[in-house]
Amino acid sequence: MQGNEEVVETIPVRSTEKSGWRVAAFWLAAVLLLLSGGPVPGELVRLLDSREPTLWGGAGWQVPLGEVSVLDPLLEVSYLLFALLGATLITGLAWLQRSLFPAPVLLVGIAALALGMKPEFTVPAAVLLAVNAGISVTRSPGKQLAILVGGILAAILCTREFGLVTVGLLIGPGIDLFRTLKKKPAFLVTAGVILVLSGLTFVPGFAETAARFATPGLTPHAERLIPSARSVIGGEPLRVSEWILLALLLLAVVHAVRSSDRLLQTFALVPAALFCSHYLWLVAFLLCVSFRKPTLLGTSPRVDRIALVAGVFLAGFQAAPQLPAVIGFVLGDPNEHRLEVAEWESRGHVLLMNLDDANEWQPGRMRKRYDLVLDDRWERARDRFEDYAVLCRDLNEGRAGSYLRSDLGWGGYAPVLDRIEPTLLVQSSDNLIEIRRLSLSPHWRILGIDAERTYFGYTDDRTIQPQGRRAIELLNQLEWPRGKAESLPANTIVASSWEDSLKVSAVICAIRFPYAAMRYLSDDGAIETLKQRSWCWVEISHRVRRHAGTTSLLDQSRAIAGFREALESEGASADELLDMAVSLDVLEAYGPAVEFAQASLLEGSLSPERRTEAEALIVKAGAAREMQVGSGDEPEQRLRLYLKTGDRQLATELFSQLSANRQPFYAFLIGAAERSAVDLYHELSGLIDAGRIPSDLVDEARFYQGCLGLEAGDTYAAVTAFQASREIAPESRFTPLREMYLLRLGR
Amino acid sequence: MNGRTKVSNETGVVNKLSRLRLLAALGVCAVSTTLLGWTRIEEEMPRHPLNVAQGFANEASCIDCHAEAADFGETGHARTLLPADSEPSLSLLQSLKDSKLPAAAEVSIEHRDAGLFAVRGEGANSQEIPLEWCFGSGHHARTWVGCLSDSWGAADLVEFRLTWYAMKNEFDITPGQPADPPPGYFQSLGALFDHPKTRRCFACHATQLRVVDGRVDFDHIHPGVTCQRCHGPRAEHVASEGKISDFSWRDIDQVESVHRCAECHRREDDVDGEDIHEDNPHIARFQPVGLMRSACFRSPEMTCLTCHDPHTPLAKQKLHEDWQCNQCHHENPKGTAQPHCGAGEESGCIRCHMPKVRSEAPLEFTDHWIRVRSDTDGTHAGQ
Repeated sequence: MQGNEEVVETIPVRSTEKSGWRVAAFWLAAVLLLLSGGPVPGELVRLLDSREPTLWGGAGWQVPLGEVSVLDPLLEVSYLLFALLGATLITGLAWLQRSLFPAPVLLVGIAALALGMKPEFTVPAAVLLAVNAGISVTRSPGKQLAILVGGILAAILCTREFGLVTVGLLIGPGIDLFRTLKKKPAFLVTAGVILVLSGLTFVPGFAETAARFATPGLTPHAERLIPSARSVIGGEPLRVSEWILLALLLLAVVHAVRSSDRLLQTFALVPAALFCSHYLWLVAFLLCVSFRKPTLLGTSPRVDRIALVAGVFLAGFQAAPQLPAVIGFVLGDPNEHRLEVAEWESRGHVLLMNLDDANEWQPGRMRKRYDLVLDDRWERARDRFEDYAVLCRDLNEGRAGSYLRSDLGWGGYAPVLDRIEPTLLVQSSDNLIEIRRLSLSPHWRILGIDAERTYFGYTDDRTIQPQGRRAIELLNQLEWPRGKAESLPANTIVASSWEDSLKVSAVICAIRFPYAAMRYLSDDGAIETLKQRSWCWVEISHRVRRHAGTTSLLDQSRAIAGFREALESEGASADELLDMAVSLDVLEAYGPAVEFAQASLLEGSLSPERRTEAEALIVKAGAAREMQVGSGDEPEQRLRLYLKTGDRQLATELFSQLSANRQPFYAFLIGAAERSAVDLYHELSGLIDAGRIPSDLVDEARFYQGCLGLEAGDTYAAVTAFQASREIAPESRFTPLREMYLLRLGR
Repeated sequence: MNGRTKVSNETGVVNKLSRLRLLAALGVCAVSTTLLGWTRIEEEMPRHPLNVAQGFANEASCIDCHAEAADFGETGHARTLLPADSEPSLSLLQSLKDSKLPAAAEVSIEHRDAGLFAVRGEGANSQEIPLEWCFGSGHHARTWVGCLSDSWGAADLVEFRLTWYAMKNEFDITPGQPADPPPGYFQSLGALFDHPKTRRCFACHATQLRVVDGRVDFDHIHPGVTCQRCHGPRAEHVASEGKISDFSWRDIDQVESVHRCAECHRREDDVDGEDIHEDNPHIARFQPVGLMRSACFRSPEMTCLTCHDPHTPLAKQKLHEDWQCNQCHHENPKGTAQPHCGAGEESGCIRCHMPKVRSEAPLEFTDHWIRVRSDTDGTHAGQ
């Protein structure tokens, strides 16, 4: 061999024997992973990423396929069907690249793509796969050119991400094609493409939509309003699926460098994904489907088999919680997971607090009734994004009246809402503080709650009145059950799984319906359930304190016990621990407040502002605790203080110092934390009926009895207890709250 | 031969051409990364200046250069929010026990280590609320509030049922509260406001007010409407000895000028449209609403500052003389400095065209809805 002669190495083609089962394994793994990360199988999703005109964003470029309304039923499918389609596309990619990468690597790619795929990526992915697959099987440059051009046209017609798809195709397969063409045809083709695309830029909105993959950074507050527009670099923490996609991109970069495969495409497009997490998946898919040179040596069939079996097994394990829902859906059980807002009577403008939700409002049944004020098209109406961000902030902070901003503009949401005349406001059900604040606003009424979203209706809009009435009727019935309701309003509060129930309970508790919130908690021993129940007891304690001016020893001691259990089992994050500390400080349980604030600092993941808050709380509550400990000389006074602060151990120690006739009541309170509401009610009723409660404590006992009846959902028990309390002590501390409960219970 | 082939030369896997391609691709990456990163817009949300932590100057230094504000401390703005245990507030609260109001007889004020409390009743069934802040300059009235936290620590407010009124020099029921107290522990002593309202209350009576998740940082509140409430944080201005100036009041038009004051004195947007009519005595309280409906407002020069100097106490501004009206209405055949009046009056424009109007509570406000009125005694229209 002489110098500079090319040496041809041959890498054996990976065997295509018995490839059928490999395809099946790939597909099954992809389906399982898609199902594991998504909503319930029956939820309708939209495969097309078109957007309707918005009030502030205008029309802009409309995806032509989205204008064909007869296709709507085909493009809105169940999530299960999307999972099957998505898995087919991902498996198609794996099949296309089977000769380049060994099975384990393909499985990693499948996992990354399946976990991160969204329904709106289906069409661009299909276009990319079809073009690359078509080019790979055709040797004729003319046909390849036709496929490429056809793919670009299909992208323009079918997806708003046509810009990224076009660039990806042109600088990927397009460059290969350009090299194979002779000079004159290459020139003509290039000129033709440039001319056509230039011509299209005169179509309103075309150019900005084409460039949208490169321009999220140009829109002020895009990251705040559109979480998927956030930068991977220095932005908010990534989700697990995003980490895996990032790893896949890194592998793609390594492959591109090692084998000089699609270098331009890789290094031009990876930054787009890094600066906007929305494009992580599309760029990963685009690169993976375009690669044409192998890097890694093959693995043996045995290793492949092991990898495939392990992959399917792990995917199955990941998807296991969803499988009952899938089976149920297939067998015809609808299993409501989300509210069907299209079935409400309301119609009008919708304010989304998270513009990533815009795709959910594109299906035909939604478009008929609602239009958005603004959506996730950051390339449209950039100058309105700041206004929208300020509006959302003012709504979330409850700032209705006008105020002069630091930029000399005017804030305050009320004048803006007068102009917009919205109908609905959609908030994520995770944003409890914002939901609580909105529930206080006279401008908004709660309309519906599910685990994903909480819906508010604008009070001035008449179309929301029927649903508003149903919502308040349901909440009242859950909070103060007036006997057995014949039927509860449907499509108002929906929770179909254990996790959903926890989230829904948290929202209902946030809007100050703690008894209603507890109806959604099951009697399992899970720490998450206990934590949420404890928050409900905190809310009840606060209500008693606010209306009666005294502590509900029953609810407060149970709340503190529940929080302590969460702390001891490490079932609470630092932020949760600090929130617990703040709430307990409000309830004058200063000792536990200090304890939980210190625990939050030790946990270590607090932001600097929250650290400052924790430290300030420790100082303040610590001083208050010193004063509190010094108060009360009588054993009973001190025992009541220990119950108030959740110090059951100390309360137990003092117990023997009480006179015998007072012990049963306090024994009941000390032991309340481990018992259910029903058990507690029966025990307390037994004590009262047997005359074992001193006369000065009967009023308090009867009040607790009534509250336990409410908690257990037993109207008769609650009413009987409260009425007895009224007879015993017509004017007591508990009178205002007791009378309010009796009124709500229909007495 | 099946399979794909890999071509390499004897010098290594990546040949010279591949190296050039890699460099070119890295170059493209660098350019696109730079462009995408550089074009990311710095995002600082415009906020309420009250809510800014830094940038406030010590206002004692304002008078060093701005002599016109020497008396600012005597203005109503400066005194519109005081701690409840400050001397002016305490002396009024102490006079509660001498009040002839029946409702006042049920309430006592207690001064404890933990602060001031209004207490109703005795023993186990007594009710009490904290009194922590005193709202009002005392020119019209003073009302007290206490802060209660909601279950998540956000700052709710209880507004004391009783207000001291300058007009009567006596206590009476706070405007907006019922004559008979509703049931409820706190409700019997006052009205409860949620934390959005708490913020709104303090925002118009304070100059610096930090609020996070509904929790008000009372440790760092700057009570009273002082220099930086209207002029914004001025630390830079002071540090630069005036070279960095406040442009926020320059080049603003008439409506914007009134709206600046109306942020607290109420804009038309903030009032129910059905309440804006001449026969509503309560609308007089919201001066910008009336002013912007006045015929005088058609003159593009007329703003709040036409007649008012916010830096000077009201008492020193001679507001009930005619000089304000003479600024525009100076036509007079006699050539004297007296306003023109179709009824032949030579003075007292304010008396007829901007009288004080009494609301249900013992409060009266000068009606800034400047017009020919049919309801003013002793006027040509009244006759």
